[in-house]
Amino acid sequence: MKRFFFTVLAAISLWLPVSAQATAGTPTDLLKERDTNIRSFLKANPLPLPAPKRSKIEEDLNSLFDYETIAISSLGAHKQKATPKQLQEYIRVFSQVTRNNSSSEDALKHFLQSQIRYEGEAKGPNGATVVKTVIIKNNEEITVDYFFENTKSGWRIVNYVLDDVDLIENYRSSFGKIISEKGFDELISKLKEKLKKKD
Amino acid sequence: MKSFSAKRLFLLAAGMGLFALLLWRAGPHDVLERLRGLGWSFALLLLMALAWNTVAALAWRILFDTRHPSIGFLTLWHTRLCGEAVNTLTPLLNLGGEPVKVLLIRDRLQGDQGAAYVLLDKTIFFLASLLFMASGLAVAFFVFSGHALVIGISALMLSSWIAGLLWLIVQQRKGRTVTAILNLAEKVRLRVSPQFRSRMEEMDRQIAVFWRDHPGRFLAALAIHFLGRAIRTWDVVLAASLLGMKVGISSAYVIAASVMLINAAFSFIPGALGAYEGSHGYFFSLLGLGLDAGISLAIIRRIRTLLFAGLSYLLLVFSPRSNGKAVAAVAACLAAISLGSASGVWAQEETPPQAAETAASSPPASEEAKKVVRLSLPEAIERALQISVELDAVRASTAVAESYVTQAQRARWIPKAELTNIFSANRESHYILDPSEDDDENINQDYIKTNAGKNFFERLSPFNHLQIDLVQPLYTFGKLDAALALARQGLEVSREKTRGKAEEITKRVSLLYWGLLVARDIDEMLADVRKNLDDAHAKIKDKLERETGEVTAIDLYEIESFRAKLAIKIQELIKGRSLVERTLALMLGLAPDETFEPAERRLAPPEYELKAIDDYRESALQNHPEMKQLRAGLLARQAQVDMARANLYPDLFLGARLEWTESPGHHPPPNEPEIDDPKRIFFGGPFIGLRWDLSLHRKSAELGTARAQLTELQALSKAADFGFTLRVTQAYLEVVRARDALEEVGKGLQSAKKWFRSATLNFGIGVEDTDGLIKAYKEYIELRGAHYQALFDYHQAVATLQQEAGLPLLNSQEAAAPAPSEANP
Repeated sequence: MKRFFFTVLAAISLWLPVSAQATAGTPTDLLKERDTNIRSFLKANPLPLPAPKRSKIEEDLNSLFDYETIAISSLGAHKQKATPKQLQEYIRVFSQVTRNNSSSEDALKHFLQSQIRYEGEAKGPNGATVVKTVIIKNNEEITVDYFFENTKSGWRIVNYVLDDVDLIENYRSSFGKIISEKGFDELISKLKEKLKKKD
Repeated sequence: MKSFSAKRLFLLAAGMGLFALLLWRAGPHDVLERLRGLGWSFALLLLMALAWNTVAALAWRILFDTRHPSIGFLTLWHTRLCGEAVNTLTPLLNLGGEPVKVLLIRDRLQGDQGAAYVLLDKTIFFLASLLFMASGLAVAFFVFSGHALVIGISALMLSSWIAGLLWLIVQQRKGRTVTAILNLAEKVRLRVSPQFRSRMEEMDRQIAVFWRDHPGRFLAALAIHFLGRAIRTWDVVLAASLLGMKVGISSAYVIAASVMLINAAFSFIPGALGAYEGSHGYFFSLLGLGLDAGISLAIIRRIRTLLFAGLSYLLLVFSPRSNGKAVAAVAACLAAISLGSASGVWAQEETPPQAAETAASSPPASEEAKKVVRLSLPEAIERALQISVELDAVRASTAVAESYVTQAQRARWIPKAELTNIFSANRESHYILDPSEDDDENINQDYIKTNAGKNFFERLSPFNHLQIDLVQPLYTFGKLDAALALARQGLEVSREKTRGKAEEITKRVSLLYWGLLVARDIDEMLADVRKNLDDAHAKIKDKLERETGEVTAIDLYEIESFRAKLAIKIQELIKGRSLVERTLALMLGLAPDETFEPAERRLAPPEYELKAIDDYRESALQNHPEMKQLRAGLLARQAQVDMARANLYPDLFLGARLEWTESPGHHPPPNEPEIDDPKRIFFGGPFIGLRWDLSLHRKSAELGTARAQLTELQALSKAADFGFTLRVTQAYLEVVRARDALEEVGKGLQSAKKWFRSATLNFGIGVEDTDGLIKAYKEYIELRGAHYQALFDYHQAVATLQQEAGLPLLNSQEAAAPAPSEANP
């Protein structure tokens, strides 16, 4: 059961990053290009992927995903409660969990079985560009709005909204509760536990 | 012996194969369900079939010489059961079993006597059946007095069949039935051997001898066959009572006869699709017992027919009375049928010409094999309205009402004309002129002689009286206007009834259509959920076995519990959807090999702008068919009052008459030529007349009654105004409730979706456990189901409000929604 939901989440994150080499064009172009590349790769390499190819696709999937920004934004005011060492460890574990999710076998299958409809771009807060998409699978539609920021490394996804659920806000409330009740180490501990349970 | 056993084995296999095919096409699951519902009482229906077959065998026995030693009642009873079993199991218009009968008795009779007596029995059986149908029609005239047109058409059809059968009997009496067929065969260049012709001529002769020498046996057999057919009445009563319905004897008689008649009329349809169940449904709906009840009864009777045929067939296979030749012939015949027409549909009730299969009783045959009929909602409604027997019945009443208007209009402007001619013999006052007598003084005594001395016949002479009257009303004090108004309001009532029935059918089809769309959406959703749960279950189980520590046994139990609840929902959905599909198929007149599919992809919320409640109340009072009928009824009552008042006064009319009377040989008295002689008149001319019924005390009372009835209807009308206001208010409030409920469920669904998405995100990062995720998923799924239900409820509420307000239902149709884009990025 949990793997199913996990794969849904992971599959969504598959659409987030773009190739490190793809620095030109609009965010929508980058998403489309990435989608095409991933599909081509998966069609040419049937699942399950051998370890080297899995590492490659994991790298491709996540290289433009700005996990550090997402991780720090997800802490909100609770960032102040962490020591620099705790913060560094938290960012490392958070990024790794997310990377694992995106490249799991279930996530890749889910990706292949779904379709994406691109519905244009809009201006977001703080100069961000919002790319609106709809993921369709089994007659169910899931709206996903990606928030891109143009950083020194190019366009990077710093947040997304899944069916009106803001990723950062969601994590912020969940992480905040854990930090307030049991401290920062408990949050890191939970993330590490999740990391151990990778496929 | 070995070959004989092999034949029987093959016969058993072929027959049971056909039986199994018919059972499969009737839907084994449905058959079992219904049999389970009836329990052992179903045996009573089998006994009923046994009863009429026994009576029919008795009628057959009557045809033979009672002293005939080799052909006893038991032999004929066995033969008939076997023959009718083959008739039912084979698609040969209820005639496939007749050769079997011949083969089973041929060894006991000389030459082709067996065939002759089978043909005779079948002829008399047909005649008894037709007479039974005719008697049923006569009873129907009283039971369904408002359906004179249907009864008239049926009577016409029946008359033609009876005439045809009587013609056949006449040919049989003349001894040229079979030989006529042989002559025809030779004309199309089929070769008939002289020996065979000679045998057939002998058979014709035997048949002719029977008709000539044994009218008593014919009448007795006819009476007993009629009795056998009449047992069907009790069969209907019994089957209805087993289903918990009460049907009176007269109604059952009409149903039994009418169903037989309709089956006969539709015997030309391959498989007689739908006629049997359709006719049951139609007559039950006329009796106010409901279409569904009639169809259920038809299905039960059909199952009985099938099982009875199966049992009788076993008798053919295993009974020592079945001779080897018959068994071999039937085996060969069934082999041909099994090979050639296994795809046919022919399970039929035993009727003279044959009966029907139906969409309702038939088969949930494999959907892949079925032809898909894809219709939009307006198309489905149009089709349902076109084939609706309920609507036809109401339309027929409208045709009658239209004829009354025509009558009233013609009475107003076209003079009434009447011609009377009497031709008779005259035996009174036969005067004879005798010119030899010329005595003026004694002319009265001598010149005129009466017939006093002649006998009765000598006094007779021809007599003719012709009279033509033309009457044109000039002034009737409003009688004709009132009659016309009465007829027109009657027509208006009839038209509104038709409109009301059409709206009712439209609503019924709409609800079924929307129900099907929703069922399809829910079906897809549940299938998806089931797949996810199965997947999750397998993975949790795997992790538990590997002891990863990620999940607990409680997670597994929770999934299993969720999955069990889901399975129940899916079962309910399948049952409901199947019922909806079958009902729609019946209303749309689909063939058993067709399946319906809505053209729309999914049910969208109605784009409905709710107006002020007073608008609907006003519309209901103005436009609802029942209110229009009531208004027309009030005007009709007013016309009756006017008519009753006018009846107090005389009618003035302009008339013309031509009268001519002649009696050849009769002469007036010569001394009184100017006296009017009633035996010799020629007169014509116009006149003005007055006709007045002076029973004024009675007329006055009738006027009082008409006024009281008008007052009564006015009071009812006020009550109806109040009632309609309540109904519209209720429907309006239901729309508001359903709309708000849809909105609230929609909000709840959004929240549940967010909850589920949030739980999914948290689960992915490791800060949500399995239990929390499952709870969120369950809530989301439940609210999706509730949303579909709320959507359907809103459509239903809108349709009900439109109907109560007398507004067209189709204006509220908006169900079409485009399929999600298949755009592939």
